[in-house]
Amino acid sequence: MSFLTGPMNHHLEGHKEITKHADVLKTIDPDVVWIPLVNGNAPCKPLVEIGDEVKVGTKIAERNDHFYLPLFSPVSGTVTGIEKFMTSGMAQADHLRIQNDHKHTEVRAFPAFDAEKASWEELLEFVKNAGMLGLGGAGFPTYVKYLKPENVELFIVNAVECEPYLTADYKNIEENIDLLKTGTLALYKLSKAKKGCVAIKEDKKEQIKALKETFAGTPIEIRTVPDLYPMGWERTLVFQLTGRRYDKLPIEAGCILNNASTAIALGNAIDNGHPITHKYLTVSGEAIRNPQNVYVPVGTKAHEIIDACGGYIDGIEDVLLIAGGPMMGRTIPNDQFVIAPQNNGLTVLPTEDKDEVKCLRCGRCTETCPSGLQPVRIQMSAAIFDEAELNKLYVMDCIECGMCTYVCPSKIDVTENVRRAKNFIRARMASRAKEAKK
Amino acid sequence: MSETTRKENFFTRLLTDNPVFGLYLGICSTLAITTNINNAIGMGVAVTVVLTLSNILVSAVRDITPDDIHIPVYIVIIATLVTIVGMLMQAYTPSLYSALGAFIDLIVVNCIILGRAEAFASMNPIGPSAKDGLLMGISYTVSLIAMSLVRQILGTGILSFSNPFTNQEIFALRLIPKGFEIPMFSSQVGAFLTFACLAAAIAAYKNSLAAKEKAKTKGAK
Amino acid sequence: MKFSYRPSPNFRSKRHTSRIMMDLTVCLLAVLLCSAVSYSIIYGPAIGIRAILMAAVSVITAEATEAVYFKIRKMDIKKELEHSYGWVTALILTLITRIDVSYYALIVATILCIIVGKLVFGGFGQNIFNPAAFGEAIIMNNFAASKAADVTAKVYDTLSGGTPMAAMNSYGWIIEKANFPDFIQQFGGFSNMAMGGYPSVIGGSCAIVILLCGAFLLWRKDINYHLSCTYLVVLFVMSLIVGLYHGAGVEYALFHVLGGGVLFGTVFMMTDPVTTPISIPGRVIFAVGCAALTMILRWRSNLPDGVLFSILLMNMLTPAIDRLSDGNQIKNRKLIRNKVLGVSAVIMLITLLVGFFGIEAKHPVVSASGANTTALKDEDFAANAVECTAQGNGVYLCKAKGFEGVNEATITVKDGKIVGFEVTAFHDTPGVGDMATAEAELTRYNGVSLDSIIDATSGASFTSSSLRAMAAAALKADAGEPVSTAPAAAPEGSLGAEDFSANEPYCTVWTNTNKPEYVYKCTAKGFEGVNKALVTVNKDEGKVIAIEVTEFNDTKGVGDAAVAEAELARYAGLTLDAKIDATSGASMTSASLRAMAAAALNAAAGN
Repeated sequence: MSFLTGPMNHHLEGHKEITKHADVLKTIDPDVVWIPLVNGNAPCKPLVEIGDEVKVGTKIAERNDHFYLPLFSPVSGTVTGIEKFMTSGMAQADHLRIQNDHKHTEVRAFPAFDAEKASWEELLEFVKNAGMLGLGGAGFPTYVKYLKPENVELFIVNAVECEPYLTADYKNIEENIDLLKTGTLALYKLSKAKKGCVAIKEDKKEQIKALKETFAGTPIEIRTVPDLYPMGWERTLVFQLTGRRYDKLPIEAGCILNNASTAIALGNAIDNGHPITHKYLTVSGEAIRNPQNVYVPVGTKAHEIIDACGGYIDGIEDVLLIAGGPMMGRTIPNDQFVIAPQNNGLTVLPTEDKDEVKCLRCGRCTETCPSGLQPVRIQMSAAIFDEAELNKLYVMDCIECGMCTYVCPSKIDVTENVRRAKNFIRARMASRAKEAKK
Repeated sequence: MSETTRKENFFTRLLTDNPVFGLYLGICSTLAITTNINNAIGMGVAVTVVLTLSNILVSAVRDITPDDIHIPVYIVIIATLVTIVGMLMQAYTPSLYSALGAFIDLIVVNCIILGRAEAFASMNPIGPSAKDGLLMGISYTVSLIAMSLVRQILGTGILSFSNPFTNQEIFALRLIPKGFEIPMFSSQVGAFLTFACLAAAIAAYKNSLAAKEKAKTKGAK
Repeated sequence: MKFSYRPSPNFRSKRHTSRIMMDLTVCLLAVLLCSAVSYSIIYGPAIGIRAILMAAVSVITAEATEAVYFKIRKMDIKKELEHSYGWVTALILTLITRIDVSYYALIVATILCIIVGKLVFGGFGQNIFNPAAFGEAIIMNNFAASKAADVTAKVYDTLSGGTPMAAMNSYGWIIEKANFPDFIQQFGGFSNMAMGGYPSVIGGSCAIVILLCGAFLLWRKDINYHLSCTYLVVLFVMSLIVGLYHGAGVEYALFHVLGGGVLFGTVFMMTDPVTTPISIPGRVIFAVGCAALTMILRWRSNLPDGVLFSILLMNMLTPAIDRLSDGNQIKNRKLIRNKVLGVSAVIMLITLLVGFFGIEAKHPVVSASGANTTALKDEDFAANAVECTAQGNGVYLCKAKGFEGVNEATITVKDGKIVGFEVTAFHDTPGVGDMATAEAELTRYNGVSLDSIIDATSGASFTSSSLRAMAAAALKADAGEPVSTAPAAAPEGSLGAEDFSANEPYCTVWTNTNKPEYVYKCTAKGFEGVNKALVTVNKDEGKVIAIEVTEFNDTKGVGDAAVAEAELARYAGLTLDAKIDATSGASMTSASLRAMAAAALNAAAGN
């Protein structure tokens, strides 16, 4: 960064030691799973009916608008209904209720596939039909990124995992490093990139060594990045690795990124014919008795997972149950939601009140904002509903990463204020669009 | 309305409908000359006289003044009155005249006078116009006296008043011991500060009155 | 189990504003302690304790004011006081005032700066102006004269030429390289300045401690380095360039950086986050502007130091600078960078131009040293152009030129000694010259006779010399000696031969109904204004019959001695060949009257 800009990142206390070394709990097998019939905000149509028998790997739903995404059953059992309740994204959605018969009967979801021998089009078709989606939190169907890979210079596997408390990717890579290799090489081939790399934080020395050994002899490099937040965000990572900035999509800077878990899932699909049925989840926080990683089927209810991890610590009456990590994850006001493929963690923190002071315009938020915004000025303009000034400040560029609130010494809810400003702008644009339609 | 309420109303109106602190008119001369009470009273009386007479005259000609030239007509009336008042002051109260200096001539463009002419006198008969001019002038004088009290006492420590006709000092009280006064209040800095504080106090008073009104109507429901 | 809802993120760093303020308080106390210690060592423990007492008084006043305000607003006093950080303002204010400021001045300034500088805007975090700078400006403007005299005597009078900034001021702000070492030796050299050896303001002397505090605050990440570094670098570079242009060396630039309030302002006042822009480009512009203003104010204004007012003026521009550097720091980085460079370049260019062409080395005429060795009657006051008029009973109205204006005083003389000295008009530099007119200084004139030796007030030598000139003149007048250093009372030649071109007389016919009497309406310049008179002339005889002054615009109490009835009566029967004496003590006005008379006579004669 030049003299005139701040560092635009910051080192956070990671709290990863809590769950980094514990074994992954794999014994959670719920009696009922509810599969959310949504992908992002788009609904998925169920392909089975109530009463149908399903096996692990049966295709049970698909999204078929301008993108295609199939969903597969994680357990064997019977479909017993469709219920509507709140997802971990705080939206109401239909869930497909499947009664688990605990037999784990499998069915091959898709035919065997040799990624190395297949052509580019065949590989793309495979990725599409295998239901691969962005497991880093976005949930985007993976194949869409590779529809037109032109002038791609660098393919990046994002194993940075900058969100504090979460170690799911770390554990996933630790246990499935060979699948990572398969998936990475397949995606690298799809991307038609000149170079490929796996990006990982420099303090994970053991894993870097293991990765280097695994990827020896392949065109994939292992590149380390400093331990800063939000290094795992696309723009920051691309800037760190290539020094370039882009406007909308990374492909403008000649890069394609995918999460490490997504690569592992693809490896699993290619080598073992398994679709995405289970997830590595970090259950962590200061209010959970046994913090650890768990390996659960998609559709498991949150309270079952928490019970399996020992429940809440005695004496704590008021918790913040966060789907994801504490920086970008939302607090959910109940524990009845289910785990979707894009969830990575459950962070349980004791609720604390903060000592809020008036803003002293110290400028820390402005220096650390990774999008280069000025949260203080946005707050001030939002308070007076100054739409022109908010647009001049590029308020819609905010990704709500939470950096501003973290560094604020006055303990102000800066991110929330920026969020409200964004909602205000969205509402204005919507009402203007409505006016134009008339 | 009973006598006490009338009186209450009068004093309340004096504060809230004040042209200086309520309507923020004529601030320029307020800030410039309120360095002592003599000037304040002198200016206040001059403005009151001009205001009352101009209201009367404007009201008298209101029906025959063509609309497109009504502003120049009012200015001529006001300018004439100001010139007369200025000459009288120069003759009988020369020290006050030289102390007020250019601001006597600036009474012509004092927003209060033209403002009241436009807003009230041009639409109302002579009697109410005169009364309005008189009351406005009195509240203007009161606000000038308030400002100059603060500024003179804090700025020079002395509260004094001289007879403007003979320049004889009527009384001079030293309220703040010598060496403990704050000279900045006699200058423009103090003028702005004093004005701001008084305006804020009156605004707060107005707000509390409005709150009381609201509570009354809510209670009545 | 209760599941609360809190908007994301729910992860915060441990640093709290209170901790930042605590760090700041600790540093300020360290500087205060260092000053107190150094004052105690040099001037005695009483002075050192005074420094600490002043800080205590200011802090207590600040807290009390805020408590009263919160009580009136019906807020929770304890909680608000904790988060309003009034004591930081109070400490900074104490550290930027001089040690001889009276307690009363400090209290009033603290009250005003807390109320008007902070609370009125909404309290902590909302003020536009740096409250401590505002408070110091109030002290400088109002209380420069009311100082604790004994402290001034102990601390400042021992120093010749006043503080370094004032001394540099009297030299015109530029000293040739060769002369610099002598100049700086007055203050014990740079090392002395760095260690707190010379008194200026309480917190201004210990450069080393201030720099250490700055390093500490940077290490704790409480302050941002962009502002301070840019300010210091730009200040140093600009003064270096200007110094080199005028033939001074690097020491000149170093002097600018070490002297005055630069270091203290950089570490504690400019880094105040509330009053400075938020984004880094904004801060860079702010720092460049402050450096420029500091230099320009030091060079061209009569203020003792430019740092304070440069900060206040740039605070005024902070919202505008914020708006200027608004935008996305990634997407607009080129645009913002260009704006910063452009604005900075313009500002620096203007400053350099002022520095090149606006300063001129001065060599002070009157001795800058405070101590005097010449008796009053022997001192040379030619430069002061003193004039005294007797009022009777030993009271004299005098005026004399000081530094740049004319000061006036009423002096009472009895038995050849001064018993009263009251300054009635002061036209020199406020904040500098009025140290000489303070009560304490004027009492030194009591009992002074022509044989006495009066020391000048250090730091206000010109005003002191004007006061001494007036004292000498009054004493001489009382003793019957010729007083005025103005042109001689009796003109050499006749009225017609006198040269009145300086008076620019002008006459027009007013009436001539009573021929041969013509009345001319005349104007002529006197001492400082234009006097008008009606001169009645007998055209046939070429004589003045009467002269009536219609407008007198000279100095009241001095010049109007010439327009008294008795004096005007002397003009009756005047012709162009006659001689007429001037009225002593009012020579200029007399000249204007004579000019008008001459012009009228000439007009009547058809010349």
